[in-house]
Amino acid sequence: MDCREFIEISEAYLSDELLVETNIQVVRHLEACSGCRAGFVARRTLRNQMLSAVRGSEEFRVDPAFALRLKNELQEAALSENALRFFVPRVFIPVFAATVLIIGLLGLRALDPSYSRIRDLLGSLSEKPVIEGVVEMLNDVVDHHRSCAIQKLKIWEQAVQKNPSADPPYRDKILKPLRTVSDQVRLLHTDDCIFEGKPFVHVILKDGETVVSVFFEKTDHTSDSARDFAGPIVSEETSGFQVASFRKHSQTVMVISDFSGVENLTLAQTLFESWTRT
Amino acid sequence: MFGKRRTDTKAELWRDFEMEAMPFMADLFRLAVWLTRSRDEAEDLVQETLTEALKSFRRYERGSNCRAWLTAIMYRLNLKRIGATKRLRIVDESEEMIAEVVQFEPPLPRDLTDDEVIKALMQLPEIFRQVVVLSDVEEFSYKDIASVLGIPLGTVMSRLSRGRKLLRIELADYARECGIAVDKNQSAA
Repeated sequence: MDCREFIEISEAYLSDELLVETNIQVVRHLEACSGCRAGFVARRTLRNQMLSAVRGSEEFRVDPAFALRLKNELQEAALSENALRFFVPRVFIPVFAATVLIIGLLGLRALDPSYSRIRDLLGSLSEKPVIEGVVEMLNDVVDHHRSCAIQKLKIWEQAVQKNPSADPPYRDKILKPLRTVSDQVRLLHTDDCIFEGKPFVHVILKDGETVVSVFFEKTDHTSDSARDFAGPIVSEETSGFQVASFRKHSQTVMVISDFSGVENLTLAQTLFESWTRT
Repeated sequence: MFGKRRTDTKAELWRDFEMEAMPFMADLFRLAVWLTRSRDEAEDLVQETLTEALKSFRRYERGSNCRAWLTAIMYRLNLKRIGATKRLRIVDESEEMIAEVVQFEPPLPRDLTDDEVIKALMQLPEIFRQVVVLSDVEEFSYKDIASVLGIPLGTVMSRLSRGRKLLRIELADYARECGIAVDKNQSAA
């Protein structure tokens, strides 16, 4: 092999794309030709530096928080019922089209800037957190949502219609933050209830056609450590309802609705952020 | 029964996806930064790519080159994102012509910093940079690059050769401006 031949294949040699036999000829030529060897070494050094420079650069390194968030989001999509839409057989195309339409309509809602925090919201979930005391009261809380909020909905709606000008209780605490997410949220009624011996305030709201219950524990902030404590938000499905719960100070808060998991979480996240700021 | 099998299938699909595709998230992100020039947009592109890949994962042949498959999805989505395939082709031609007329190649400077190398890489025209990055940074084979970019193998080789040459020229120009030394023994190959 002479210098001209080497120059012709030097790029492929640098990329390790040559046959073994050709590689051997190149090595022999490089051993004999100092000019080609120096040029090739410089090129190989540059190639190696390119690789290490980019791979070692902070600018090109994926943010671990983003990576974790995305992994969780993908896992949720892969394992949830909604993931079926990825794999619909051809015979179900009409059903698929209808599903896409519904998802699209929900998607339009998700495009609303106030819903753009979904990814952040998913990121704020920890792996498998448990909020002390919530598991035990979960069924009772869902039952209360069903019997007091949903079944008596007409009564609360009529009451609000009769007195529309009244300033609703917990307007600043509950209604105002949730209005930043959806301007259709209305506060219908509040009552008191007890779960596992702890007193709670039950706030009944309606967002469009969906009934939402917010339960928050009545408690005093007894210590500085309790005052500083916040989070995480835990979401789970119980008896067909989505329940998102968190602790702020020493107060347990639960948001229940038959919205999708993400939408229900959005409401909980909104309250969480609003209350954490106060 | 049906419900159980469906759950198992989804779980298996996720397990395979997690095992085969997810380890390449960091590689995808690096490429996405080159493509978008923005970390925020790169994150969006990676998210889109992996979501799309998850949707299509049943069509992916297990055990084949998952990184190349994911990268091809990303490039396709990026083209869609910038919506400028046609415009890019016009630019391509003029850039190919520019590279053709570059004949003289000065020797490579020594002692360049990593930042200087990255900066020079950034200066390359897009069509050359993407081949150089795929080959020299991401270590894809010519065949995979051709598949990812949807161009013939010969085009990959010529663009890589010209891209590397332009990069060396860029670095030599930079070195001359900064007074960085060069190795006089290098041939002008």
